[in-house]
This record gives sequence, C-alpha cells and structure tokens, in this order.
Amino acid sequence: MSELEAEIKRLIVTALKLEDLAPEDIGTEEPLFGDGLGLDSIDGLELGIALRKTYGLKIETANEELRQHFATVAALARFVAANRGVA
Amino acid sequence: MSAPTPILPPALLPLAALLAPGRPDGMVVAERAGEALTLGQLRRQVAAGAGWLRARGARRVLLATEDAWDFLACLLAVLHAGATAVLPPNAQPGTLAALAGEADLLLTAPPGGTATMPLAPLVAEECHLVFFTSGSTGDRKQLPKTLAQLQREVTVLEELWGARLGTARVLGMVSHQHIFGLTFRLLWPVMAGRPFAAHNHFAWEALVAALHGPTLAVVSPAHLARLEGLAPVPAGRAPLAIFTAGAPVPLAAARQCQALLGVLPTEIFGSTETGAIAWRHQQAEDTPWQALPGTELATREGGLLDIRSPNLAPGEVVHSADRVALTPGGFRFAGRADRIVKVEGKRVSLTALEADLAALPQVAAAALAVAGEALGALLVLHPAGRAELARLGRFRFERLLRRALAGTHEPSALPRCWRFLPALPLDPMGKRDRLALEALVAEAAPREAIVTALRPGDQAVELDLAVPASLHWFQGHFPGFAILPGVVQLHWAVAHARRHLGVTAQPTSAQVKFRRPIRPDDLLTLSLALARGRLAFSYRRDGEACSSGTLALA
Repeated sequence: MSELEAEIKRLIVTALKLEDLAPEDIGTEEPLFGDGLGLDSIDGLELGIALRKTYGLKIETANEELRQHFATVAALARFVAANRGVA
Repeated sequence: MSAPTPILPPALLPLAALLAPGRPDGMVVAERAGEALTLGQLRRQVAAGAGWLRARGARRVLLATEDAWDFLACLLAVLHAGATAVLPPNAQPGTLAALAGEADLLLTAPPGGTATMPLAPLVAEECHLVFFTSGSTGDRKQLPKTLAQLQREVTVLEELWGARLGTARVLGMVSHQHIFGLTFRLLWPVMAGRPFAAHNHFAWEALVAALHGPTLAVVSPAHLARLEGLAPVPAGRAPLAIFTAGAPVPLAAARQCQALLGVLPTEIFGSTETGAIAWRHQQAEDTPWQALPGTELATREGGLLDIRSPNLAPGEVVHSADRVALTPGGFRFAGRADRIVKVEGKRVSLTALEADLAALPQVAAAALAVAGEALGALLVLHPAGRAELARLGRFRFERLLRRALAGTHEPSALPRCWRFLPALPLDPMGKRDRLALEALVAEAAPREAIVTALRPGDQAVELDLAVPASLHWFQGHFPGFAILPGVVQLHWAVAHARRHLGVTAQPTSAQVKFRRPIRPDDLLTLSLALARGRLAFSYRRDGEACSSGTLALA
C-alpha cells in the first residue's frame, strides 16, 4: 500500500468523522460506496470537500468518470496523484 | 375565493399535449452523457409502453427509475394507457415492496413491444398521479393529484422565471421521484422546452463540468452546504439560476454559492401536499419567504400555516404543521409543530423511523434525537446484537443497520450518529427524557450515567442508573478491564443530590467503602439520603452493594 493510499484512508476517517473505524480497516480495493464500506451520497460530498482542501484538487470531470475515480481508495489515490495542486 | 386562472405563457406546452402532432420529432427533450434525446424517441417509447400497459390491463402502476428520461417515458406511457401513476417516496427496494399492494405493476424502465398505441392528447384533469408523504404519526399518507394541478404549478413558475431562463439546459443533483425534482428537473423543463439532464450529477465537480451555454441547476440544501474548496466558476459559465428546496439554506452556504457559482440559490418552500408555495433569495439572515403568484396564506391557532394554491384542487385548503409569522406578501418560517424533522432537506418522521429501528432484529429499544445538525439513533441492543457489535466493530455494525434500513429509507435521511446504550433515559414522569437523549447524541463519550427511573422520598431519592460503555471515564482502558473510578461515583452522588435534593453546599470530607467494581453496561441503583448535614449514598447492583459512604457538607 502506498503512502498516499494510507493518507487517503486517514482522510476518509477524519473528514467523515467515522467514529470507531481505523484507517487500516478500510480495504484499498474495497468499494467505498454501496455494499463495500457503505458510504452514501452525503459522505461523497464531504469527501469531495476534504480532497479539495487537502490536495487542492481543482478539477472538472464528466459524471461517470468521476464516479469511477471515487470507487476505491486505490482509484482515488491514482486520481489525486495525477491531479493534485497546491493546497 | 377561487385561485386565479393561470394564462399559459406562449412558450409553455402542456405536458398533456406534448406528444400530439405539431412538434417536430427532432426537438431535443433531454440529454444523457452528452447525447441528445428527442421528442421522436419519446413518442416511440411512449407509444410502445402504453401499448404494453394496455395489453396487460394495468390500472395503477408504480414508477421507480434511476434515470429521469426513463421516468418521463414511463409516466407518459402510464397516463396514455389511461392508468394511474403511483410515485413511491423513494426507490429503495423495501419501499417498493411495501407499496406493491398499491399498484398492479411496477415499472423501473420503459416497457415495450410490438403493440403500440396511437397517442391522442391527454385530458390533464383526468390524468391521475398518487404521491406519498409521511404523516406526523409515522403512517404513510396517499396524496392524489391530477396532471392539471402539476401543470398549473409549472405555469406559475414559468410566469415568474421563464423569461429569464430562456432555453437553458437543466442540470440536477436531486431525484425526480420527489415532487420538487419531478417538477423542477422534469415537468417544467419539458413544458418550457428546456432540455433536462437524464442523469443526476454525482458531485459538484461533475455538475460544474457540464456548465456550458445557458444552464440552470436543481440541487438540495445538502449540496449547497458542501461547496467548500470548489474553484469559482468563471462568470461566463455561471448558471442562470440554482433552485433548491427541502430545508432553509444556511445564509453562509447561500453566500458561498453566490461567490463560487455566481448566483444566489433560489430557495423554494413547499411540500409534497402543496407543491411550491413560496420562494426567496436569501440576502440577509432570515429573509422572509415570498408567496408564489396565486398562493394565499393565512395562519390558524398556534401560528400554523394554512395554504390555498393553484397547485391544489379547487377550493382545497392545506392545514400544515409549519409554524410561521406572516409578513407582507409572505412569511418567516419558525419550525415544525410535529415530530417531523428535516434531515439534509429530507422530511423524516421520527415516529416512523423509531418504529423501523426498533423492529430490527438486533435492537431491543430505539429512540431518535436531533442535536444541532445531526440526527442520532440511540439504541439498546439484544444480547445477540451486542455480540454482533463486538465482532464487527462499531462502524461496520452501524453501516449494517443503515443497510437494513436502506430498504425503506433514503441514506441521507438516516441517522449519522449512533449510540449504543444499556438503557434509554427516562424523565421523572417515566417518559423518554428528550434533553438527556439530545445530550447523548451531542456527546460521543458521555460523562454521566443514564437515569432510567427516579423515586423521590423524604429528604432522600433513589435513582436507577445505566452505565454506558461509551462513558468518557472508561476510555483508554482495555476492554473487560474498565472500571468506574471512585471519584466519579462521588461526583455523580453529589450532582444528583444537587439536582434532586436541593443540596447547594460543598462536600468537605468523605468516608467511602468500595466493595465491587462498577463496569460498562452495569445497571445500578443509587440511593441518596440527607441527614444532619451529611449525604449518605450507596450504589447497588442486583441488591449487592458496590460502594457506599457518607459525605460531610459545608
């Protein structure tokens, strides 16, 4: 697991205030939404804020593509690595 | 009194006449992932769908689709087949199952076959739709409406904003299954010739990517409260309007919306019963709501709002549970008068949700409380539920419960804060102690035990206490080894003596005997008695003393 993936797991736990979930309990390839970790649409919006604030992401991405980038921690890490700006 | 007869603005086409000959097949009605969807496609889908429904003799059809275009095609097919459209409050499988008895068919995508039906214009007054809303007792209430009512609502909206919106594309982040989304994302755009996006946008970044040319957006207050960090949209690409409904938008969020997206949100006030009745641009704290043209407002006893509107059946008055103060041309909103709360803009019946929580197999008793913005669930678990909690950990156990409820409730309307308690707090009257519940939601690690019964005596009082495992004083201990510190036991004894025996003096000295440790989830009885300037206390569990002593008061 890369350092960025570990960082994103920590970000998910702190930004979404997931009481009693350790970052390392989130699977890198586990689906974040739906039947995986079980995040919902409001969590998605909160995660969006955290990514914008932490990594200075300033991106516009077509709907389906953005959904793919948010699918797992691994996908998010690739997306952040390719798009990170100056926070 | 009669509602004024709306005059159709020249550009507005009744939905009832949408498919009648005259409009070209090539007219763009919607877009999906950049592809135009045309009137010709809609005509073919509706003719095939109506033929399919007619062949099955469908009378009442439940509609639940992911995609707004599919919904429009299904709705028109149902109405052209002469059937009633039944609109579930959400598309969760459990809701659909519960409503199965209300309809003889469920459509989740436009049906079709070779049998088509010629599409005669509809008579809007004879097209029936059934909506649902949760009543204050938690029951589901049916709300029948005609297409004519919905068209009258759109007419008012177009009168007010149509000229400004031109042929803007309509983007959205709210479901068309709700009346607000249905009217603003779907019916109004179709009637006014504005192409609507068939898909909801997943996040702000995706909606912003679609802002080119004239646009408007339909979003929820939950979205507007989560704009932080978004890059400002260049002035030339700002949407012409952003409509939102469900709950008042916080002023800071309205201002942030203007700064980042270039327009103040146009907030719509309404309900499933009434449709849109008022609007505002929030310029300052608590900007009053302006009644929509043709809406007549009055208050009855208790400051509750009564509504007459062209959206309603002729002569109908809706007696709402909204507390308001009337202003010239509108009102200020002062909250609901029943156990309905708004969570992320969604109407939640606390009564209904509590009943559903209590019905989960893991749960022995359930209560809900709202603290600040957060809806919290306070649960007492059965032993099997406790074992499952210990095995899965709190987060995954919570999500398991959320998934169990996702069958009947939308995720955003579910509790975001979960507390597992040994018992629910009761007030001295033996009723749920609302303030104690709210405090438990607000604080992840409470510092006090839960009072489940209180028996006053002469200069004495006896309390039943439940000791939450989440107690602040247990944190940092290994599970199974946590014990309640003696100093906390003394502190609680004094605190309850202040509350219930009117003690104001400070303890100066103590004589205490600790016999048995007090552990998480213990159920205790605390006895307090005042005599000769001393407070005697004892904590007992199952009749056995855990600790006892006396405190000298000065």
